[in-house]
Formats: sequence, C-alpha cells, structure tokens
Amino acid sequence: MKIQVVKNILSANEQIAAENRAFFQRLGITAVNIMASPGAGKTSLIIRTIEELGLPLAVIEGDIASTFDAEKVGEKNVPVVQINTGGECHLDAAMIRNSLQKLDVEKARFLFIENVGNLVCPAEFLLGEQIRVLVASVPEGDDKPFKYSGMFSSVQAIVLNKIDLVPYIDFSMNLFIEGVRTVNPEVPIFQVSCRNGEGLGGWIEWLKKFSS
Amino acid sequence: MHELAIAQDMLDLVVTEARERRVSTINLVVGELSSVAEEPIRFCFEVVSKGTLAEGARLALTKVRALLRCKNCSCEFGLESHGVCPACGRRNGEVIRGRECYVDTIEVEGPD
Repeated sequence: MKIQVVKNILSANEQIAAENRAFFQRLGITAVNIMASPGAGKTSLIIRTIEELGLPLAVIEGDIASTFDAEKVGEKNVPVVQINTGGECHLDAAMIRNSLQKLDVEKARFLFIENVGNLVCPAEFLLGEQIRVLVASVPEGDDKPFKYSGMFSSVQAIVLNKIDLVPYIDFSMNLFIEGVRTVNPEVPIFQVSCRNGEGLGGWIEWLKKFSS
Repeated sequence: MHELAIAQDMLDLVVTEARERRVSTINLVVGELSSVAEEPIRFCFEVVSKGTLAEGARLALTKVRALLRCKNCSCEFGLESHGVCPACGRRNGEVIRGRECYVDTIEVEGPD
C-alpha cells in the first residue's frame, strides 16, 4: 500500500532552526551565522565587529575542541558561550538551542554564531540565523568559489579577509570575484583586513541595516 | 555529506509514517544540488535500518536535474552551462530546482 509522505529529510534540524528563528524574532535579535575554513578569520572578524559596531551583542563560539575563541571574545566583555562539538564538523540547530539557555541575550541586538571551521558541512545545516556570512581569505586562493560552490552560493555576504597579504600571494581578485558571481551573482563582497582594519567600515555599515 | 545523519532522519520519518507496518519501498527525491550522494545514502540506510520495520526496504531514488533561470532573460538552463546563460551570456541565474531532498512516498505491507 502506498503512503504519500512528501517530507523533507533533515526536517528535525529544520524544525528546531525554525523555533530558534522565532525566538530571535521575538527578542528582536539579528542572528548571524559566520562560516569559513579554519584560520580564515572568523574570530578576528567577530572581535573587530565587537569593537566597531557599537551595539550590544552576544556570541556563540563553535569548535571541535578548546575555548580559545570564547576567551578572546570574553576579554571584550561580551556575553559568550563556547560549544565544543567533540567531533561533529558543523554546528546544528539543537546545539544553538541548548546554548541559548546558558547565554544572556536579553539586551543583545546581534548574536554572532561562529561555526566550526569547515567550507562544506555548515552550509547544509540551518541554525535559525537571519544572515549567513562566509569569511574567505586571500591565502586560501582565488579559486575557492569554483571549488566550494555550495557554501559560496548559500550566503548573503562574503568577507574576503587578509587583503593586506595580496602583494605577497598569487591571488587574482578578478578570478575570485568572477567565481563568486558565477554562483552568487548579487552577493556583497567586503574586502577587509581584520589585522589593520582596512575595509571594515563597509561591513559594519551593511550589518547595521539589519539591526532590528 | 552526512549521509548517516540523513539516513537516520529518513528512517525515523519512514517508520513513523508506516505506523507499525513493514516498509517495502521508499521513494526518495534527491536534487542534483542537494549534496546527497547515492551510494553513501544506500549504504548508510542499510546500516541504520537493521532491526527495524524498514530493514530490507528497497530505496528508489528519483534524481532531479538542477535548473537555473536567468534573471536577465528568463532562459532556463542546467549545470552544463557553468552558470552562464546560453541565451544572453549573463551570469545571473537563480536556482529553481535541484536542492530537493525528500521522502515522496513509501510502500508498506498489509491493509490500511
């Protein structure tokens, strides 16, 4: 006997993500999922954003192990909680839901979620975020948009970090932008250096538009 | 990737829908852009379904080709165009099909 189902797989994660999203909307928090390869500059971007945004915010840090990132954020006197996945290569909606029970988000206008360093899997797991951001970096190479189209196509903003290294690395900005445009034609690309502060103003101004 | 988690999710979904009857077939629809690969999902499902009412169920995959629509001229094209509209040459396509991953129907043994 045939039974009509028509239900998405991974619907359990989507259900929890939808609940998280509703929670953020009720509290007027803009949740931002920040994804990148390991070392691209997710934590650096969050630290710089804390310094420049001028709005109350909170942070969820995700790593397989260690609390380095949460400690750096904590030094900026921002509410932060560290998730250690113990092996899972991405954050999921349930982990975010559990973290929210330990995090003071009452006054926050933005919640930055730093995902596990990974250019593949985080793209597939919604967390309930309003904005998805990819941090790419110059040393990773200019061909990554072609190689990781799943990630590059799924975000609303791309921050290209470490532009201070352009003189020292074989990186064609034209090729990188062409690759991005192939899979995500209208996405804003912010060329920045978290190290020296270059280009961050554009990123901050863009973010402020989402302030509830 | 993560076909094991996907297989587990699929199993839970299918067993719930089957309402205590043995599952003989699962009709799955998988889009070209969904990043679910056929061999891993078959293998993982075989593993997770052991000892359940879905053990031994036939997994029938219907693959959906990716389809993009050019925002400039509305021409529709597939992945073979590498993101470039074959009609107007612009790189301005939006995905209208191909990200699906769902259980369409299941077949169970026994009466209603």
